[in-house]
Amino acid sequence: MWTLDQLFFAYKYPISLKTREIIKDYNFSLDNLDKEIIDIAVSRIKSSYSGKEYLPSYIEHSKSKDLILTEIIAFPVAKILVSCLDRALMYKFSENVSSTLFYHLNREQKRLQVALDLANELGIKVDLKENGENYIELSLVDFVEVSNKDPQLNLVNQHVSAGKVLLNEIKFCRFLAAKAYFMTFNSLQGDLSSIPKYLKDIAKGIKFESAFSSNFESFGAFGKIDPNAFPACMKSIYSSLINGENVAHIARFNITTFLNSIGMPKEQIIAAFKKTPNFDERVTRYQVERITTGNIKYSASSCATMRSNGLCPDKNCTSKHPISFYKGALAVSRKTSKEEK
Amino acid sequence: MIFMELNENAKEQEFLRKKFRQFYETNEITYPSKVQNREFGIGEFGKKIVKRHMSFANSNFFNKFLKEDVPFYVSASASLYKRPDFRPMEKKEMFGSELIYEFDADDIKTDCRNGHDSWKCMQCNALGSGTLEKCPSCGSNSLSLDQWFCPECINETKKQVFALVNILKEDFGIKEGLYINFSGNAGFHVHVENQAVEKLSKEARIQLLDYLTLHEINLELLGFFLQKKTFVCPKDPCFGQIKRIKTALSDMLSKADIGELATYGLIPKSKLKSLLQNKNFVLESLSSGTLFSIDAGAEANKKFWLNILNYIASKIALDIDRQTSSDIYKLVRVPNTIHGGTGLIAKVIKFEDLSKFDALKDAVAFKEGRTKVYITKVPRFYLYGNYFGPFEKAEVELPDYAAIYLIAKGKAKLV
Repeated sequence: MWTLDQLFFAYKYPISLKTREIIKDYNFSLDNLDKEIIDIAVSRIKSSYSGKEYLPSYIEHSKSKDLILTEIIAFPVAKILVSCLDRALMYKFSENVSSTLFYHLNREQKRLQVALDLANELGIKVDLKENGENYIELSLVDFVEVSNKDPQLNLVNQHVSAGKVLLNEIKFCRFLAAKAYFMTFNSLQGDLSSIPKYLKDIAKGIKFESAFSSNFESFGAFGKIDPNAFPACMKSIYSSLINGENVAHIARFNITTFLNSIGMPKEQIIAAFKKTPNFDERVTRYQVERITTGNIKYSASSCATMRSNGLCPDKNCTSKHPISFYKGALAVSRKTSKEEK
Repeated sequence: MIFMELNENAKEQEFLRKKFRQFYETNEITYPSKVQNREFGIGEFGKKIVKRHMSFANSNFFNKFLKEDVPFYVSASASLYKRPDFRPMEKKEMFGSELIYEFDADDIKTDCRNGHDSWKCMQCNALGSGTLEKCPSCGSNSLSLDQWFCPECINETKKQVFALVNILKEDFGIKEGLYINFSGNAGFHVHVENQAVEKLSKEARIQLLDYLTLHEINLELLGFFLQKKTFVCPKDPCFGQIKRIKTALSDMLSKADIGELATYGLIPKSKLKSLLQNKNFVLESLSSGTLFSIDAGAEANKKFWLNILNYIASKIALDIDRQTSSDIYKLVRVPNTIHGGTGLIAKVIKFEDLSKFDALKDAVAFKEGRTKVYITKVPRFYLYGNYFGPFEKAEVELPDYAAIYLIAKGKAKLV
């Protein structure tokens, strides 16, 4: 009964009403879940503590309704499993839902229309205003309930009038991603008594495994920063910064999350921006601090995100994540240097 | 303020309580709304809160309590609870909260303070007039401040209230449930009792507060930035904080005060000649989205405009008390009750009456009678349209409102 398009929408935007309707139709029981569904749910949770968006490669061009349906059903199962875990993993999982939703939304060919459809599904009333570029007008109250999630959405830096906030298309997508974060997190803390023991045991296993993975992206994992081992995208942005060129905001954001992820101290990150033509230490410090030490942890973007933001200069690069590229290049460089000695 | 020892003031406390009781016996307190859902707190002589977690089933019980117990201060929660008297706070089960913004004259720097305020260093005993944060003699920040308020500093606070109400209406679209009351001492409270904001989380309230105080404003994100060699700004028509910044900038440029522009733009006056010679063009460009390029390079031009804009932002940012305005558990003086530290009424004011509201006159509760008091030391002060003092170690007969004011401030004793 559901079309492929509808199923894809529900898969990409799992907080939507459509997702709930599909799940309701499926009428599954927690007592006898398919192993496949559980495996996908676990995989989804694992992607959150590894800091990557959840993007199973087999699904993107799939024509199989069953495959997509399994992904959709796995989402509430993942939420149930995460509800059995600690708050840190709940935050990470919600963050992952948010960043994955933003990834999908940002890649939509009809991005504005899909964003408006999603807002409609979530019961968010919006008006479209033509003002040179598209402006989406929404209620101030709806906006401030989630805007603290993303420094780009701070109310003080928005256009506000008559109880409405006006956002451009990309900020509206960020707003929806922030909304997804809170909707997911708020739906996690339920009554655990009705959860079958076998699911609680699976959750325990995830908790155990995550304890060994949480140091991913930490300073200790990489040691001294080596810009020569940076992937081409980060090398390009980093060299523009230290050569005093003006760098687009999205590139600044990505280099900051990357440098933070590989353990560069905050002061060094701020120093990297010092030669840029419009450098303002107060503004830079504020932005770097919000990204590196704010309530929300921003992970370095994946290669897919870098590509979609037009920040990947090397079409031949086969890496999936700038961090894993760096990790690999660093290992090779250190091995070579050791052999030379 | 140093209060006299409580046991030394039994007679004065009894006198004040008698007067306050007269007030509550003749004045029905109709605030706050939804009495049954508020947590109340009361204070005694010299202490604003000595007991909290109190509740009243309705307004009649609350008024009966005021008449019988006569607290010196009475405060109520901005938040609404299912069980307001329960402890700890989580058990009260909050289901909503008013927005309350508080302005205090002591947060606003006015010249008049040198005339009526004084300080004493607790480390080196140095003395001086005005309000300081650190002792100029020994550098200690342990200062005892003696603060007084006059129509001038209260009027400055009032300007902030006007600006806030304008933003609440124009930017936030709040048209209903908005009311103002004098704090009873030196400030104003702006209340928003409106279903649309009642459920806002603490984080959302901080977002609103940051907007009002322009906390962490990023001018670049708002459209003020260097584009190639020109510094651009949003084109008219603008609204919200952008409009206010541009209006203040336009006023500043219209004045064409080279000293002011050079001081706040951190640039030599010689670089501003063409800016002043082309004033009309500068103002037209501002309206169409460009800030005039001064006689300096692109980088110096950018720094000049950013310095000016940041100065303007700091000037138009509201001086709201962040603590009261973001703390949803805070208790705030009940409107129209007596402030125990002044004997004045925390009077509710209609917005249309605010401009002519003379707080130190219109909030006077005890207009009749005279009382003889011994005054330790007070500067000249204004009350109910009259100036009194200065007095030092003097025995004087004063109108009741002035005697009560000084006794409540711990500056006078009954004779």
